[in-house]
Amino acid sequence: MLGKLLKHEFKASGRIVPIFYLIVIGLMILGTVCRLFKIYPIAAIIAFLLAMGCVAVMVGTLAIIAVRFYRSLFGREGYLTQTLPVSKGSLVLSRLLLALFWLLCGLLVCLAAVSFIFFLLDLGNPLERLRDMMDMMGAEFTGMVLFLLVSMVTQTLVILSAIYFAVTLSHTKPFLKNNILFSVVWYFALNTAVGLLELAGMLFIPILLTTQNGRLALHFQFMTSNLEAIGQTGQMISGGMGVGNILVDLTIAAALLPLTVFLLRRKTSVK
Amino acid sequence: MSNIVIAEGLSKTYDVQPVLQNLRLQLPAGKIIGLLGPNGCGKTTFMKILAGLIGDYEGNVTIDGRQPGEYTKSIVSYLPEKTYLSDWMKVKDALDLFQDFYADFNRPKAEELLQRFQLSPDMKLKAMSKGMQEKVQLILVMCRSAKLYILDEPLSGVDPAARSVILDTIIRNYSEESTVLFSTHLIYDVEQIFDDIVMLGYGQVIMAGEADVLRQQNGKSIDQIFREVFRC
Repeated sequence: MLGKLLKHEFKASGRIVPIFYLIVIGLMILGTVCRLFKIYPIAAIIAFLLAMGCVAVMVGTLAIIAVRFYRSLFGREGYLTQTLPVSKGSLVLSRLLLALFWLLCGLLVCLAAVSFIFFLLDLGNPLERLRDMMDMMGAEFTGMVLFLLVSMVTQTLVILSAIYFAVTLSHTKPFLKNNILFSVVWYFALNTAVGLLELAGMLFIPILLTTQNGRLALHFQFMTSNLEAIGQTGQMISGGMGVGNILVDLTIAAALLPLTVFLLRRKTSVK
Repeated sequence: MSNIVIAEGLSKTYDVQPVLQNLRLQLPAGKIIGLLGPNGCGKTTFMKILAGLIGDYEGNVTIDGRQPGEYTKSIVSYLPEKTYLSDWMKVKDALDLFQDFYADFNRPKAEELLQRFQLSPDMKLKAMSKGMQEKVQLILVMCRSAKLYILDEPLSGVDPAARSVILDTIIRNYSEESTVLFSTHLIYDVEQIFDDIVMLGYGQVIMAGEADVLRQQNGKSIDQIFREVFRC
């Protein structure tokens, strides 16, 4: 049933999300033409628009994900979706998996757009520039990219689970009357709480990512020890960064998603 | 005769307004049951609880011996009052969806009915009138071999000619082992098809029984009984 849910949800969301990609691709085509005919001022404008386009792709995709979740479960479509003979867990999981898919597509489009900006403005090879930047920081390229990817995945999971939980919570009895307003309020409240917990995780969970001799390593050490060293000597021990926030993100997502399913099962109504 | 639906102490409140109050009701299997009552009496709320759209209620309700959930949704075919199919869908998308999720969905029968109503599978729902969309939804719902059909005001906003067609579709296409729970305000037009009647008022059962027995006992039609019971 999960596959079928994914198929039908893909049909529904696949009409809207790719529009952003087409806009970015259109700008890239225009940019190529400008580059060919050496129309540099317009090329610069297109580079700026592409940068804005990247933001629009990611923010727009998240907005569509949130609106689709709301409409498909609690709007008019909810009368169909929530009467399908599938578990509430499957309903949430299908939306989560598809959201991750669209965000991944969005990320790939953004990476292509950023690479194109480098090409358009003659800034060289973006990968080499990134590698140079990592070398300057004393960080290992592959390890750092892996860490950033893991961070992005966990952050995305938290954002999605916060959206789903906020929308679902706003359809429980105390908040049903103004559910759209409460969806927004709950999301921003959760976002703030998550941010604070992530900071606490970074500082107080003793897992430190350090760079030594150009290699990344994990140490079981508080980030606060690094901060103390900065305070005493003006220098970091080893360029370390607390990564407990990743564990915090995973814990929050692991808590919010089952809570969302529980609320869907027992505490919500489709208006 | 067994009961397909058993509700005990069923209560539901919106804000501070009680919609269902300690409702106690049993619906027999294999009958066409008219669920009647004035606006706001709890008909739609009761139907939504049976369909699994409302999870926060008090009391107990079972369908075929099970609480509302995955199993009951596989044996209940629900037609809400509003259109629930997405505007972007074509009729064939809706057919695909029902075929994918409901093992008891009879696609050839649905396609035959669509043809009879001159509704092309390639038509977009957005391009259809309200009446046409309702016919599509009714066809989808009635082409399942469900144990319980829940039809919430299937005749509202539909012209008299279309009403006859819809009633005819319902009667011809439901399985006789199944139960049809049918809510309507057009009692005069429809009462002849009812085996049983349940009248709800103020969230509770005011009257329930076999339609013929109620007519005989009162010497009146169901429509006349309703008007007397709920006289303003």
